[in-house]
Amino acid sequence: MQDTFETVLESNKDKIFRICRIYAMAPIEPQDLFQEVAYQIWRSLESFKGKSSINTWVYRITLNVCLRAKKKSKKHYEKFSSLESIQFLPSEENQDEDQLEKFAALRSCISTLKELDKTIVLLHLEELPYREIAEVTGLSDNHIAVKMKRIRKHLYNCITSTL
Amino acid sequence: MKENNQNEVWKDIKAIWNKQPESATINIQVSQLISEFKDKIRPFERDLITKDIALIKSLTSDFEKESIRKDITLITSSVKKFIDWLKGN
Repeated sequence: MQDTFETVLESNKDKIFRICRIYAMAPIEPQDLFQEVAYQIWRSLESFKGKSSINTWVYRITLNVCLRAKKKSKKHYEKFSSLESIQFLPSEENQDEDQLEKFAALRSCISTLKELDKTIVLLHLEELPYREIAEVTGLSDNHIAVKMKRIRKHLYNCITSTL
Repeated sequence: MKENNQNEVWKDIKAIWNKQPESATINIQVSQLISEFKDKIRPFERDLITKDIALIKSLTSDFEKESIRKDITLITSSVKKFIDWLKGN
């Protein structure tokens, strides 16, 4: 059980954090969301039946935590706040100003999308095939394709007017 | 033409997403993490479960009281009818 948990968390931690960064809104930090996702994975791992891929399952948990975060207070996350076993160290990569600006613009454009569209585009950016996005969201593959067409257009207009 | 532009912009968007800056390096000590979860969460969940049980008990007891009261009324009325029937014979 511990080995599986370690494998799942280690192999998915970066993508979990990328999604948490998009959904985090002050006073809730991406780190708060990440810690809760880790807890939910640990708590639910035993009941994972393997009906979907572990990838899809992790995304579903991450998105559930992130979407529910709006309804929870900072106090809810305080029970995780002093987890010493998870450390978030600032990346040592050079901060490219241009990249920072572009990412801020993308993040801002994604934030203008409706919740469901935001979920779909994040999963698409994470390279999930439509079939798996459909599994996570409960929509059909075709519906995802139609929505992605509209979302791409929206983001195109938003990004080109921002940058 | 516009579609080509959209495709190009979409490629850029994907590139921005994949090269996103400010990403933190996350170090996790899994065995310690599990111990921390157990230590932190158990009392919290135990409190929640205790509250739930108290709530269920209080609701159940009200429900049961009402149910017993109805049963007694029904039995009393049946017995009364039976006695009246006996008296009639």
